[in-house]
This record gives sequence, C-alpha cells and structure tokens, in this order.
Amino acid sequence: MLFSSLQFAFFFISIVALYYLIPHRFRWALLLVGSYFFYMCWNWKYIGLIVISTLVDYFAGLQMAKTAEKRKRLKYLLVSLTANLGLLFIFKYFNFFAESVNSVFKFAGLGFELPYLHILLPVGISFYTFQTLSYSIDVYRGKIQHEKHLGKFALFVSFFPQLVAGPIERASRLLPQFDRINKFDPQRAASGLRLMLWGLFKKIVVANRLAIYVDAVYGNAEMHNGLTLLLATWMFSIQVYCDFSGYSDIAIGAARVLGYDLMKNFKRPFFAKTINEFWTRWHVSLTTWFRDYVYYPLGGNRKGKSRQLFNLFIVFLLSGMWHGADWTFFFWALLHCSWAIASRYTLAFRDRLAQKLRIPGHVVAAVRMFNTFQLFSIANIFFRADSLPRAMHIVKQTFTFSWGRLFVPALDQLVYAGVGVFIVMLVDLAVEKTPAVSQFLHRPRSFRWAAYMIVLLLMLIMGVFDESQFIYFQF
Amino acid sequence: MKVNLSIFNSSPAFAFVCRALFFIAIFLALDWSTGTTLDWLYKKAPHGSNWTKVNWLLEDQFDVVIFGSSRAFRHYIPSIISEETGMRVFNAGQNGQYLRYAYALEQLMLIKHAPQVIVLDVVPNFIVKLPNPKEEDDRLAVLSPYIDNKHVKEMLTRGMFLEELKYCSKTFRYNSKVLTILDNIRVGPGVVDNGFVPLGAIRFHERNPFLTDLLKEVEIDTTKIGLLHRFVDAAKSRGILVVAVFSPVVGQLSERSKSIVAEYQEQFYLLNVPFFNFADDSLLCNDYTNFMDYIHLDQIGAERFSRKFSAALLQILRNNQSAQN
Repeated sequence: MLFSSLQFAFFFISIVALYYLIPHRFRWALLLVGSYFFYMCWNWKYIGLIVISTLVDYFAGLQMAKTAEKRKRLKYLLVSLTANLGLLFIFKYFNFFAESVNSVFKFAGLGFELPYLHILLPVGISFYTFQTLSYSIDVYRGKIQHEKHLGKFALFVSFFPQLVAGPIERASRLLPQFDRINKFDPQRAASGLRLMLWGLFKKIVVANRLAIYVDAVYGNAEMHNGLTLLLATWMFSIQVYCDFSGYSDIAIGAARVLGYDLMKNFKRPFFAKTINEFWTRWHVSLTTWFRDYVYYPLGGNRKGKSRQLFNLFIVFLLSGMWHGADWTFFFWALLHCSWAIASRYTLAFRDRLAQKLRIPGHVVAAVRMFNTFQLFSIANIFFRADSLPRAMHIVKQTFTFSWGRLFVPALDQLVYAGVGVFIVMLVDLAVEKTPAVSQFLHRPRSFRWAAYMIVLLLMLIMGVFDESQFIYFQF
Repeated sequence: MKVNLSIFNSSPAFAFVCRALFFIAIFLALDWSTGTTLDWLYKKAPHGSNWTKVNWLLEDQFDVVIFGSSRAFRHYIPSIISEETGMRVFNAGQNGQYLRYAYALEQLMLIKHAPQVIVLDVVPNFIVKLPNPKEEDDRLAVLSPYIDNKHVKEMLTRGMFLEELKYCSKTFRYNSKVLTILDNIRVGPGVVDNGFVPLGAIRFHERNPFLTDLLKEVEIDTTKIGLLHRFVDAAKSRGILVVAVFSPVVGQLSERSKSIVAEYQEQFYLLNVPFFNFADDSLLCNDYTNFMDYIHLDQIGAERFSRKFSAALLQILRNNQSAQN
C-alpha cells in the first residue's frame, strides 16, 4: 500500500476517523493493528521480523532496567544488537557477503562456494532496525526509561507513517507521545493534510515524471552520450530528493493529523553551500542517528584531526552500507567522505580567496550551492547505477565530454517535469528566504484554497499515477 | 467499548468537517469544469496525433478499417489499398497497443458507423500473458477521454473499483494530455494517409524482436482469447466481414512465434475468420530492404505488402460475393 495510492487514502481516512472516535486507552491498539496491516499489505510473511525485533528489544530493555550492573546491561544490549543486526545481515547483506567471499575463493583457486539465499529484502528493514536499536542503546546508556507497555513499544517500532522509509524516530521523542491524550485539533489536522498534499505533489508530479527519463537512460547507459547521461544524473538528484522528501512530508503530515510529531527529515538540501552543510539538511534523521550512536561515541572531533578523519570515514562507510549491499554504495560513501573532508579543510582558504577577489557574497553562495549540487550528483551516479562498471562508464562518458545530441524521447515528458521542478524549487526558495509557511497561513482562506486547488489540479493533469515505489523502500 | 462521539459535537471539529466537505464540493466543480473544457478541446481538435488515430475514425465513414499494433500502423498504406480495391480504407493501428485497445476502439467506432471489412493484424503479444500488464494499462490511457463508453471503461480499468474511481475525475481523463491538446491546436495538417504516417527512408536496425521471444516462457491467456472472440463477434453481429492477418517479419519466425501463430489459426478457424499468414511469404520476408527492424516493414516494404494484402482482400471479397450469390 503506497502513500500515493487510493488504497492508502481509504486506509488513512478510516484510521483517522476511528482514532478520534475511540477512547484514548484503545488508540495504541488501533494504530498497532493498522500499522501491522499496512506492512502486511506489502508482504504478510515479513511481519514476523518486526515482531521478533520488537520482542527482543522489549525484553532486552526490561532486563536492562532490572539491573544497575553495567556488565549485565551490556550483555542485554549485545543481545539486542546481535538479533537486530543479525536479521539485517541475513536479509540485506548475506548475498553480497557470499558473492564477495566466493570471488576471493575463486581468485585463490579454492573450489568452495557459499550458498546464496533466495529471499526478498524486507521493505523498511534498515529503518525500523535503526529505530529500535536506538531504543536499546538509549536504555543501556540510561538516557531513557524502558517502556513497560509491550503494545506501545510494538507501536513505536511499527508506527505506520514512518515504518517503511522513516524518519527514523528516537524513543525519547516518540514513545511519550503515545501516552499523550490527543484531541482533534483542526489546525493540526489542516497542517498535516497540507504537508501530505505537498509530499504527494513532489512524488507524483516531479519524482515519478523524472523517473521515466532517468530509468530510460540509466537502463541503457551504454547507448547514451555524455550530455544525456549528465542530464539524467541531474534529474536523478532532483528525483531522489522529491521522492524521499515527498515520502517524509506525507509521513510527517499523516502522523500530525493523528496528533503525533515526527522529526523533520529534509531542510531544503539544494540550498546547502557546502557538502557538510548538505548533510545537515539531507535525511536528517539518519545523519543525526550516525552522529549520536557512531560519531560521538568514537570521539567525534575531540580526539585530534586524524581521529576525526577516521571517525568521519567510519560514519560515511556505515552510511553507504546502510543504503545497500553493493560496491556502488561503497564508492558513493567514499566520494561523500572525500568531499566532506576536502570541504572542511579548504573552507577557510576559499573564504579568504573570495574576500581577496572581492566576489560578492550572493555570487559566492550561488556558486557554492551549484558546486554542492554537482558533487551530490556525481556521487549519485554510483547511487543509481546498477553496477560498478556501468557507473564507471557513465562517469567516463560524462567527464570526457563525449557529448552529442540530447536524447529526447518525448518532449512533453520533459516539459511536465520542468514545470514540476520549477514549482518545487520556487517553494523551497520561498521557504528558505522567508518564513513562507507562516506568511501563507496569514493569507485569506480564499487564497490558500485556491493554492491547494491548483496543486490538486496540477497533480491530476501532470501527475504520473503509475504506482511506482518510493526509492528508499529498497533500503 | 464506549464510542467517543464528542469530537463531532465540538464546534471546531464540526466546522472542520463542514469546511472540508465544502472544499471538496468546490474542487469537484472545478475538476468537472476543467475536464469539460479539456474534453471539448481534445475532441474538436482538427489536427494532431489523437485526431489522426482516433477522432478521424470516429467522425468519418470507411469501408475497410485496420486494427492492430505498431505493425498494423506501419504496414498498411490506405491509399494503396484504396487504389487496388476501390474502397475507403483507414489504418487504426497504434504503436504499443494490443488487443484491448483494438477492442475498445472497435466498440467506439461501431457506435458511430460500421465498415464493410475489419482487418485485425495480430501479433503474439495479443493472446499471451505478459510479465507487466500494468505497462499495457498505462498505454491504454490514450483512450481515457472516451471512458464514458462502457467497453472502453472495461478495457481501461479491468473492472477494478479503485481504477474506476480514478476516472470519476473528469480532469484525470486528460492526465498527461494537455500538451498534446495544445499541440493539436497549434500544428497544421501533416502528411497523413488515413491514419498511416509515412516513415520516409529508414535504415535497418537490428532491434525489436517480438516481446514473447524475449520472455523465458509464455502462456496463452484464456481471457485474451475470450476478448479475441468478442472482437470478432461484435463485428460479425453487424454483418461486417472480419479478416485476420499476421504480417511479415524478417526471415523465419521463431519456434515460439510459430506455435502462437498455430494458436491463432485454430482460433480463427473456430471463429470462421479468414487468416492470412504473411510471415510465410519468403519473397517479402527474406528481403531486408523491406524492413526497418525485425518486425516492422519500412516504407518500401509497406508498399509491397499493401499491394499483396489488397490482392488477398479482393480475393476474399470476391469469394464472399460469389458465396452470397
């Protein structure tokens, strides 16, 4: 059941109506049943994985709370880490691991092969695994109390708006909200619906439309020249932004209608002036997860420059692995890591140079934004390409300027995409420059309604309703 | 369990629900008026792609109408067939469309008028289970402006409630068609020969085998066989002569395609429909200069084939005439 489908619309309306009709004490049960149903619509068999994660972490939390002895607490934390990361390894990484090991064996002339597993990757496994891991780690650290109510804990792991593609919530933020008595608040509901509408626009009008061109080019990369590949790569950067931020907006909006606050996942990343700033605006729930549970515990920037570089490398490496089990993601991570380090250590020099050359501030900002987008796009070649050789081919074709005629299968596709991208960027620019949302809310109702209707009409006229998956479902 | 209805008694919630309903009502009115305007522009267009392939057929009366996929579109030259047979011919073949499109268009046409002959140019894809039926659904959306017709609705939505619900929106019927509508208004009449668009000189490309030859295995789809029967029966019930054709391909058919052609032979025998298999015509099929790729004739090939087909059609018409006498 996709957020952009009519099935979800019926499901969501039913859940919201029932939620506000039943007493508070039963609401967690409604949301839990709804969340499990939502997940089972994709593949009912894999609900068992969520149940296992839930039970292991619930009991680990319970046991950790019973003792103050650090060794015992650590033992239960390790049980939680082993179970969750073990499941993640089996379902996400085992085949990649087997393939790599088999290649080494073959190279060494050993006649042994690890078997492959013929299993589907469970949707959202990386998201809910990281969410539930953060609970175990926080209980171990004593940052939060363990959750006594198994049902509410199960809901924390599987809350349907953010179950399959985040934002990755923290127990300290989300669990207390399940105890809060939410009364129907028309303003919150309107705000949530507005966010859902905007998320749908980004997904249906922009991401799905761009995907048609990107898939056509990346699916036959060897057939296309550098110019076409460059355009497809830029388009993919915008596609992945609209796809993922669109999903996040719908998730945050849906939760808000029900009275829950989820963390912001995107802060207009294409206005970032450096790659480091970019990572404070892109997939914020994951970057802060790595910051809090990997970078800081490793020492962050407190243990000298070389250690900081090492810590950054580890964080990016894990981030790449989180995205997928393939060498393309390793290269993607490596590129981002190199750029983050280079950006950090050259920023002061670049600032001085700009001052010396008396380049106006807005020009410097524009150039930096453009550069950051380019760096992000280059890394995305590895993110999008289905194999390392194909990614290398695209890089080679693009940067050796083997350009020819631009591939344009249907001009109207590009025009629709262009209109959608223009609108999204215009809104992002307005929000970046001014608190546009609050300004928008102070406009007369007729103005706001006209805006909503235009967005709805554009979706009907220009949207691509092909039920294509959200990109981040595969993670 | 006590149901908490207090939220609907509280004035802010009640006001919210009322406002939401009012918003929906206004939006439905806007959707209807936008859709109606687009409908008018779409169906009144004097030129352009949708007029060439659909509106022209629905507005004019023809003696022979040819249905099928891109192979039908590229293989039958109406002016040549007219010249040979003395009948008015329209080529309603369409790129990337299969039997569901042909059936829906046939039904739309039969409401307006009935030709003397319907030609169905078949390809293997018409009657087998395809790996991604959603792709066919998406391509069929070209007929969404005609969704009010029950047969078109059946083909487009396959009876699925949520799909039917989408088309309740009048504007959605013109999804991704606004630029086409503008283009229809903007462009003048192109070089169009009753549905056929000349290709010009095209070099042979080693591409486009039948989709069925690329699949690991294929299975005959009984629902599609049923649709084939409905297509023929609808025409026959109006006294229209139906002729089925498998037009030429480069060289020899694959074993798989041969087995599908055998299935067609059996079905058309049951339906009492004459079936011409031009894939056996070695003169046409062994000459690469007739083709633009493995399964599509080029302009020269289409001219040669159209003459051969006209001769076969004339023969059938004569046989029919003498049988009636």
